[in-house]
Amino acid sequence: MRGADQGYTQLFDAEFRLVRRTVFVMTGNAAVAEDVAQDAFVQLLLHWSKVSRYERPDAWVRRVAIRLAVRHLKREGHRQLVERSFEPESGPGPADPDLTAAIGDLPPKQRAVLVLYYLEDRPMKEVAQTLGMSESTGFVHLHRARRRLAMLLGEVGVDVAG
Amino acid sequence: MSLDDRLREEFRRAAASAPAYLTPGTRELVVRRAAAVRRQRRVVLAVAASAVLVAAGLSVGLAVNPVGSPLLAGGPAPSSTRPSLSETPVATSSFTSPVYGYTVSYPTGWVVAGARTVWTHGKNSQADPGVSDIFQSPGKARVEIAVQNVPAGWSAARWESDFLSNPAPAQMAACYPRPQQWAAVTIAGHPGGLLGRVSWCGFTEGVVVIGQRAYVIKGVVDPNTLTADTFDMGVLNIMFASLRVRVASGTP
Repeated sequence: MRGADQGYTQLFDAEFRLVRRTVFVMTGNAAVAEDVAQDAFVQLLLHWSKVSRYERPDAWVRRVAIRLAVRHLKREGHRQLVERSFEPESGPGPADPDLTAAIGDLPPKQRAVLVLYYLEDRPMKEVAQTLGMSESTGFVHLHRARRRLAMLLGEVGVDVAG
Repeated sequence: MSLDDRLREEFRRAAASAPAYLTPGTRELVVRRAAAVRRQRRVVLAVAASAVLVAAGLSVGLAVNPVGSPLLAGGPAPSSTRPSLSETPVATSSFTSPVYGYTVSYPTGWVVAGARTVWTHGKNSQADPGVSDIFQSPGKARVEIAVQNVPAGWSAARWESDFLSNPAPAQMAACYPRPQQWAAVTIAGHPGGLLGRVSWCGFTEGVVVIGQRAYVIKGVVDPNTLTADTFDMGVLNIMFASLRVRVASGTP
């Protein structure tokens, strides 16, 4: 890489692990998260001359990664998150197995909305932009995801308002 | 604990389980992969340029050998010696669609499954079995060609706006851009549009209207690939350039 690409290097160092972490939470698979994050940063480098002029290049690469992850989840046929292989030395594993299993039953886009909304604490406008949908559609996905989780968890009377 | 709190806690725990390290050399690997993609694209462009030259030669040949000559009537498969890319074979064979009547060259070694029924507007979709001529690569990538009759005066843009159910879903807008944002492409010597061609769309599709028929030539990437590749334009350019159509006379 030339010196002119120093901005890319800085962005990579700052964002790669965060992007990979988000994809990991979505897919529950460290290898897939690594592959998807790398694919997204390959795309970023291929489009760097254009994307580097954007206000938020980090948002661009995050958007690419999330969409690749959603595609992966669709292909995998909604594989249960309970199948994910947490590495014993890297964390305590799921403490709420019922919720973990219920999240695994959600369609990929609903799962993506939940991760961006609850893990990354993004406003719905940004969540929707990342996933290429309108803000109202994003709220619909959030509402349906929470309603389905409440049903799967047998929670009666849970407030599922957006 | 509320559902909101449980979700936050669940994702926080999952995130804490995510690998925190960055394997040395990851960035260099990404840079090398991007360089490989650039090289691949340059080769594809070279192949496309070669295909244009082949098409020009074919046009000259057509002027000498009128339609109906063995050249377009299933005679010996034309071949070429274009530089090869992994997905772009060096030779082509010829196929004449029994349902739609067009003739097109496709990579030798691919298997063709001809359409069994016409693609009727409003009655079936291009994804329905038997509607498309399918050119299956030795891998999982394929090209699908289907044809629809359209009213006189329709353009490819008019066809698309009628074909898509209202505007494309927001999340697919990049795959089905507005006509003014289409990449221009020449198919069978006629101006058409190029749709898709974004890695996560999974397809690259050329659309052209010739003689009251809309021709849709869709390249579909291997659905199992995780790489962000788009369909091999070298193959599509060969098919775009070699397509020869019959003048419409009723049903396709």
